Amino acid sequence: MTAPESTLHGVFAALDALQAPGPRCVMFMAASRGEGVSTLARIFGEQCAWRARRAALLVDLDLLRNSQCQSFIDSGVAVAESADGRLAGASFVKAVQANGVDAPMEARRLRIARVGDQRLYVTHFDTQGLKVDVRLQISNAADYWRAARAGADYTVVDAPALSRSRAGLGVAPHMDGVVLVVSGAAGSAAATLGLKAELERRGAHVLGLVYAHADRGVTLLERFFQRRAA
Amino acid sequence: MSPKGSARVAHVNALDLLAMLWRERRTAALAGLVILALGAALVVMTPRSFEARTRLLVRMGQEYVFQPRVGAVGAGAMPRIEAIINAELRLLESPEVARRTIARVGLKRLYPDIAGAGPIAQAAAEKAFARDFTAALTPDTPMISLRFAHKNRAIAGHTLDALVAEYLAYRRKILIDPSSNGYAEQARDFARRAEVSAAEIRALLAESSVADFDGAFRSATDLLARLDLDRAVAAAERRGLEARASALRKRVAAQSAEIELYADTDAEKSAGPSRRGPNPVRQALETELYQSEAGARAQAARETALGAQQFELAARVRTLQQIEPRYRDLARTHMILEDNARAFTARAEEASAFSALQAVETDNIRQLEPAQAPLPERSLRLEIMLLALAIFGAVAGALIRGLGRKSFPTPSSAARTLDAPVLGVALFRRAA
Repeated sequence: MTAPESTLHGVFAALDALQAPGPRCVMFMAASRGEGVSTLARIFGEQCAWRARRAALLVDLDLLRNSQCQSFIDSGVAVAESADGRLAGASFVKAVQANGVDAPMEARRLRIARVGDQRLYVTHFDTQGLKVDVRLQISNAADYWRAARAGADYTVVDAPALSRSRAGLGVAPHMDGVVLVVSGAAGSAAATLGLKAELERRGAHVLGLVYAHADRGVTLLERFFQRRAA
Repeated sequence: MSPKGSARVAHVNALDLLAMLWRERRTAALAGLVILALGAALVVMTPRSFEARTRLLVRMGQEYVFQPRVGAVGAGAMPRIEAIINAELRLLESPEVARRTIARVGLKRLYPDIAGAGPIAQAAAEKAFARDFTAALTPDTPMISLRFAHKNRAIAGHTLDALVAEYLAYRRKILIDPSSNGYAEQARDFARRAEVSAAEIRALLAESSVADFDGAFRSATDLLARLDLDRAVAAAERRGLEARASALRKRVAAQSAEIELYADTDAEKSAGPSRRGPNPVRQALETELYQSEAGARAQAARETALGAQQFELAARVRTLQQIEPRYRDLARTHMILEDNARAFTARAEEASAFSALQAVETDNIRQLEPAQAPLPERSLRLEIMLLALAIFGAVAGALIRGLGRKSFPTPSSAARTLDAPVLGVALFRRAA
């Protein structure tokens, strides 16, 4: 478990700078695993909840692990009894049979729960009793996200790393912006360039990047040089 | 490189390199420590050797002053001190000096490892000696600095001292002794040749039964001249006497043998027939004639004797004249040889006295101090070099690793590469 020590003012600033006013959907995504996307998305979700007049929604695209919900529980935050996670009858998850035909899925599987007494809601997905021949798929449809904007001021999507799943790529075009999470980990440069190119090819708007796992020495050094240059 | 290709690589600037160094500080430290450890191991494992040092002061010496063997032209000319120092350097580096030094110190003691190498041991030892020994000029001073390195400090010093001693002995042999030997030899040679030419002269004279050529020749020619004169005088006298005898003979013939004797008195005149008697005038003339004739005969006999003598002497003079050129030649050569023998004997005496002096005081080469190997100083040069190498290795290692990561060393490098703004920087820390 890691604890961040940073602010994400820049992300809000970038969202605020977008032309059309209104509710915002933003996705955090990285090229490789371990960059800290989930942690950043959770922090950002909480910050959004503070700023939101109505509510903030934290969407976990990692259906099998439900790490967002679990981490709130693990950190001792009470998560309320979950309700049906579909918004206006739309879901971002669909079940597909082996032959490619959509399969019916029980309504109870996609759930939504309030985090403590915050105006933050987090999704989780119940995989219990799922048939073996049914495959879960993230929908490319826009209706869920339209509904989310109607109900929440901020929708924060925690997408799995591209190296694990391409789920985020389908959702990205429906977002107001995508935040790339990068770090100094080996090989991250080429992978992130690839991710950015892929996102832009699909019409997603890349807001900018968050540099995770930053070294304090490096940060101070950079700040010093930037001040000198200014 | 195509734009797309270049976009695949993180854009790195100086700040990124610094950041990389910081991020890879562990790698840097590891690389630096490994280099330091290897360097330290190398220093520890390198066999230690002690370098004995000494210096020679070279001054202008007698042996370099030009002393002509014959005559005195150019005497006193001397080479420049640099040339002398160079000559001494070559002498110091001579294999002969090395050989003698090795022999003096002992091969087993000096190079125990090489001593067992069998037939090539000597050559190998000389090679090793040449490697361990250095003789160098000291700039701007007439000095030669000598160094000899050896594992054993005492042997290093001892060997260098031995080398100096052998060198001094060797240079005495090379520079000084041969000349005095040469003089004496030359003197002996000249004397021998003079002796030979004297014997030849003696033999030549004995052949002609002459003890002293010049005396014999002079007396023979003198005598011949006097004989000529005597013979001419004798001939003149004989002719005079013969002429007188001839005149007397006529006068004798003109006188009758007997004449009437005269009476002193009348009585005697009247007494008988007149008395006849020998003519006294004729008798007197006859006596005179006989005397002249005898004198002429005596002169003729003398003349004959003188002529015989003259013939004999002329033959002798001819003989002497025949051998004269050969004699003169031999005599001249002999004289020159004798002169040279005398001169070289004097030189040899001088030179042997001189080298006797040189042998005790090789004044112009002085060893300034006994050879000694200083205890190794704590020179920091090696350590500083090692440290610099370690730092270089550390930086290089860190940069190689950092660049090899193909990642974003700083947020700004990510922003430049991705062409997207930095919205936030997260300092993740391990939670307790």
